[in-house]
Amino acid sequence: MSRDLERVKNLLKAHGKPPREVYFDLENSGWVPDEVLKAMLPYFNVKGYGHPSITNKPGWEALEALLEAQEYIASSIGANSSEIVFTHSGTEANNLAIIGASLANKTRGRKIVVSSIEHYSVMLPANELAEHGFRTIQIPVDKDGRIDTDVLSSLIDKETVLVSIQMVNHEIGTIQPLREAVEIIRDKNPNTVIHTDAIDAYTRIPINVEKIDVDLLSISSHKILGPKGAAALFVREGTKIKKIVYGALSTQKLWPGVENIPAIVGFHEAARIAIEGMNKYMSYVTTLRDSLINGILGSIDGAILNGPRGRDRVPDNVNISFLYVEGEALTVELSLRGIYVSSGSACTSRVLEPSHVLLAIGRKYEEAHGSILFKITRYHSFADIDYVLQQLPVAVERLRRLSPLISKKNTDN
Amino acid sequence: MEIIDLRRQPKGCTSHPLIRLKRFLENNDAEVMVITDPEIIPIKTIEIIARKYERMIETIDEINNTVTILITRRCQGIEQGS
Amino acid sequence: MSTRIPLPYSSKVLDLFRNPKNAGRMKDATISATAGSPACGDVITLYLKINDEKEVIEKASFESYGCAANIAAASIMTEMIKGKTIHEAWNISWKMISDELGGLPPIKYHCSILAVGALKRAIRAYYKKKGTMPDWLSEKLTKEELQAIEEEKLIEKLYGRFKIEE
Repeated sequence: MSRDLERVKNLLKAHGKPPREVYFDLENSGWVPDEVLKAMLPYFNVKGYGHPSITNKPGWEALEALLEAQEYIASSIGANSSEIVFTHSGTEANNLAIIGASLANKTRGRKIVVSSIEHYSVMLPANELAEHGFRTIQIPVDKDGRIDTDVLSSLIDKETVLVSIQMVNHEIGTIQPLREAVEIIRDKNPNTVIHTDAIDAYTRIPINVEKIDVDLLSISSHKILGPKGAAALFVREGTKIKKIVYGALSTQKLWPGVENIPAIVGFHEAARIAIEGMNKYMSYVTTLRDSLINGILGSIDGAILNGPRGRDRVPDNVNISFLYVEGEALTVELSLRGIYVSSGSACTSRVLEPSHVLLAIGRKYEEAHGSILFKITRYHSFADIDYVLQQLPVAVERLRRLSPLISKKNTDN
Repeated sequence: MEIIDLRRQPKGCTSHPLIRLKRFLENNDAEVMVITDPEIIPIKTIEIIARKYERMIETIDEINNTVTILITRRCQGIEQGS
Repeated sequence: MSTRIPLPYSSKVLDLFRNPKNAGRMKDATISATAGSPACGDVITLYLKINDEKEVIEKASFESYGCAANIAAASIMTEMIKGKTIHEAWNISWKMISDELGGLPPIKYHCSILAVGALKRAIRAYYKKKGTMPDWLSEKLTKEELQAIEEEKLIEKLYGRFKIEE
């Protein structure tokens, strides 16, 4: 057995199963609700388990499922079916958008503009394009994570080939002034391709590409309580874009590789449930969110909310920095108590950089290291929030008692 | 004096020179020198950012595609003669 | 979030994290030292009670700001040095600490390096205070000490701020 495997087995044994478990780490992945699982199961071994491009019955059944998903997802964002490309992950969709559109349009310019708080799957491909002669510029954001539209405007010129600005920030929940940004960009350069990473926006806020003139838009299944393994890129008709993965063409001209039909079916079902109930679910989730935020800020000293309050914040995001404790230690402590979250602290050796999003909004390094992210779903309850509010102060207190920063603070006073 | 070269293309995701500039201006009242290729990051962009932190800019040098700009200390709303 | 690297901690790390031995400030410490910086997300403060005559570490305790591996490394180190002579403690390497913890994942080696850095710093500070210099203690800084300093300096350069003073 490999060392890592042995370690993780022993680790799980030592961790054990806490008496109560509540999962909030939807930013990174999540469970699949029974209703969605039920829709997916037949496609593993009852029907539609063939290849959607092959001329036999299970193949045509697979194709049917794919086309149904494509149609629903397209309509849910105001697009046409033919404008939806399935990939296997949001990272793939973002890579296709950034690299595919930049390379296809490179005669139009070499400047790529992105916000400074994009997800790595947008930033890194943009940076990689430096090898092809592109330059990437990041737009600063304010303390709430909103992009500076004056700076954006000053950066758009005839050389700007692509702009990518996320609809909702994945770490701090900021809802970007995307419509305003799109208008500014179109005004200054009608040829610039506009991409938005809507992965954290889809099913939380309404999206309509007829109303917001983006050319490319990414969404992903496992962020909306669907299964891992399916995501989509909206590509507006007429947008020049190159494929970046090569293989036998199947149904998706821009992304070969056999489509994960069960996951696509799950994506469809997850989207349908969430979109149909969006208003009532989001109104409920917002109440849970605010009660968690207020509860934490009211009961723990040295706790700072990251990102805006109220309507500028997406309904399901809670991100709080706890001073004098380190985030990774806190995630382990909370995990032992059955509360599953993630942190923006730097988990890499020798330093330094904690979450680039938190640094971009002006958090000091030590504040960024102590951050914890919760995502709330329609399946969470007030009892879950109460459980967190009961456990979190104890968890933070235990780690603070171990911390030299607290005793220094106390001797300074 | 701090010098920030906006022409650098960082490999990582953080510390993009424009973001470093913003952080510097947020945390310091001192002057800072900025070097830019105006075709990539226009002088106008630097002026907009500087003004948000109550500072003015002065173009020190312009050779080919390299412009050196001084961002002044915080002006605190007082009009400074050029 | 920041780069997601899988961290299969050994169960030993988890056990120490849950029940850290020798945690907390020592009021009657002979000497204490701190290594690391909050800006790096890693600080260890070490407290030692030393028997001056015998040059033995009677008691050791720690405070820690950092991940689970950081807390575990600091804790296990205090266990390893208790009852040892200062010279013996000086010879404890970061690898020994990592091994005691069941082997840290490579990206967490810096936690045990920092722990040793704090220990060596404390030992030097002790002799400086005492005014003597044992023959086994060289003026030259060791790798661990240099790394701690490097981390502290690097953050200062990038950020120019917070530094813990003794």
